[in-house]
Amino acid sequence: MALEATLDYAIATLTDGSQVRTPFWHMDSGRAGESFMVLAAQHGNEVQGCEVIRRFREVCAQGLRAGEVFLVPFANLPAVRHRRSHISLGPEQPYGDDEGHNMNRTWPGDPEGNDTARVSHSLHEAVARHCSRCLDFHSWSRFTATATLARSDNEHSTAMARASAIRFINWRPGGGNPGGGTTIGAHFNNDPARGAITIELAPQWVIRPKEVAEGLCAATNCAKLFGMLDGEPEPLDGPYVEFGLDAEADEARLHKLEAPCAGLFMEAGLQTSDRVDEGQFLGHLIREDDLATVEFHAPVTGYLWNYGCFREHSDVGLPGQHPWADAGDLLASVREPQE
Amino acid sequence: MPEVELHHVTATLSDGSQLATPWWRLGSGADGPDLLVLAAQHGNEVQGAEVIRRFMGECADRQLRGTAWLVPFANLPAIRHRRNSILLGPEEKGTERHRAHNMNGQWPGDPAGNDIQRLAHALHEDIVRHASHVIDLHCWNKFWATATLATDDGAESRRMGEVAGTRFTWWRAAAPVEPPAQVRDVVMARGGSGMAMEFAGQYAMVEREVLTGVRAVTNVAKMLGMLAGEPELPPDTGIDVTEDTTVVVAAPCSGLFVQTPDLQLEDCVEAGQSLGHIIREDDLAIEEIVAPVGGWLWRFGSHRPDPDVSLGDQHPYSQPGDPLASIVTG
Repeated sequence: MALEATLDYAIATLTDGSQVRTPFWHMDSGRAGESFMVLAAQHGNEVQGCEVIRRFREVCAQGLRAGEVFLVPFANLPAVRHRRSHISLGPEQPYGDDEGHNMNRTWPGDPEGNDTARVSHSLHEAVARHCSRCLDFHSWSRFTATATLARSDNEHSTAMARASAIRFINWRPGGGNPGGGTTIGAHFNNDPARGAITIELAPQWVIRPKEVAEGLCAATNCAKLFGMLDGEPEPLDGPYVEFGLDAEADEARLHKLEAPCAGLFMEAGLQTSDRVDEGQFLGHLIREDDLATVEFHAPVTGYLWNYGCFREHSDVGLPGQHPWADAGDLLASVREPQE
Repeated sequence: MPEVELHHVTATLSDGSQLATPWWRLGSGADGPDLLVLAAQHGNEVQGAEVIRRFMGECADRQLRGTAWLVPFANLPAIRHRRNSILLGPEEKGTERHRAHNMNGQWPGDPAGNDIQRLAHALHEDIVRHASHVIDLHCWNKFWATATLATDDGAESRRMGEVAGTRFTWWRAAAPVEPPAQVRDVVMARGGSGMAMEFAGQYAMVEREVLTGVRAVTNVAKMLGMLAGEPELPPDTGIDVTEDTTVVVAAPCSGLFVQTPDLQLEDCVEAGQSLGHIIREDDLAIEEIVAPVGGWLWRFGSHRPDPDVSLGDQHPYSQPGDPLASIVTG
């Protein structure tokens, strides 16, 4: 018999006295186990995880056998309604111009803070403080592969990353964020009894079947790892590609292709995360000066970490996604897995 | 076989600098049409450039008659600016600055005008004025299907539209247009023929749309006798898009629209078929969205008025009344 999900709300009172009611599902197996929080859309333009959570709820309804899950598909409803990363952002403003409204720098929130900190505080009180594990779905631009961000100094985070079946794992050391503030991942991982990972599902502003399937697999695998669902985590087809702990080794295994001249880049139908073989055709560029065709081929065998012509702020403005390359613009990068 | 000649049009800009625009000319050596194909009059609409590159290869291999005039980067300053027109700022659209620099309203150009009028003038003098036929390649936002914009002049412009072979065709009646005007209007005003195409997706290169474009341009060249063979017309093409035949599917509530996987623009849908669902923001309930009629997906995906300049307007979060799809019946 399917387990019922209870609909509940985290209620925040904003600075103007109005309220934000953030809906979430709670499912309790009635048996001891981990308390697993899955959230999405802390940034209003990163919404693929919302659909992952909807589907993960169905998985839990059929098979949750231990512990409880808290599912928050719209963590930052004001930003989702604003259709930008943070409520403070205007046209093409980069993430960094957050003015304190980057939700993923506000945990555990502040009931007397700005509106975003008040929303995160309400979620902390209603959900996060009850949980021992956390999976936080984000999205970055379509030009960088889907990846797990995990903490190497937290055994639970490490185990979750290795169970995620997401090709790329970006290890993050402990300590504070360079930009200040506390992410929900750090909020969990700074406590050795708790653990969290973040998954960046490429890209933002859309919902794509492939990434939703990957996210669902990761959430399900984590729940299996915790013994909340039956079965073993589904393994990744091929090796994990891990980086972030040894800059020199990472650099040696990262191979970049840059535009040698200005022109229009046409991809070859591949996607980030795809495996490519050395010499494989990756695309071509139509030169602006003489219309000659310049071909690009994979320099090594590995996995596409970046793919497509892009530049800074491709995650907030369409010009950053334009396939017109200037000399030196990155067109692709391939990461080799460890031996 | 024709030789592929690389040329440059040189425009002198208002600051005295010069802009060189590269283009190809392929002359068969035999009498025939002068077919101009140009792309990227708007700097964010670049799929046609790849169409032209591939069509150039077709002509180089097997052109029989006439001359092909091929301009893949008609508006290099706007391409380099990576926006529709030069001088545009973040998410800017429809402003006076936009209108003044919208190349496709400036033909035949003006050698003493603003930089875009000067560029149009230079292109007109070296290329456009020689054209007997023109195909003008554009792109609109990714939520609207690729279409041919055809003119019913009862003659060759009509035949160009008929053989393009796109799923959808938008017809307009032939009518005199005063310059400055669109490039096809200028060619048609002096007795030539023309059509335009809009590919789905700006700021991107999509193989499916490129293939559609290559087929359309090649079909026109075949119809004109420049290439051997008959135009290839896939089934269910040339569907006329009118208000009377178009049914809009709007969001019934606020929430996140998730499209049905594997469904895309131009697909045939049946009445009652799932188009996707909305995850409601108020209670997380699922609202199924189904096709109210059978027909062809003309528009698909939640979007607002300016998805061609704003990522925010491409966001799948919908409010009541936001369009989720349009279906063309018939």
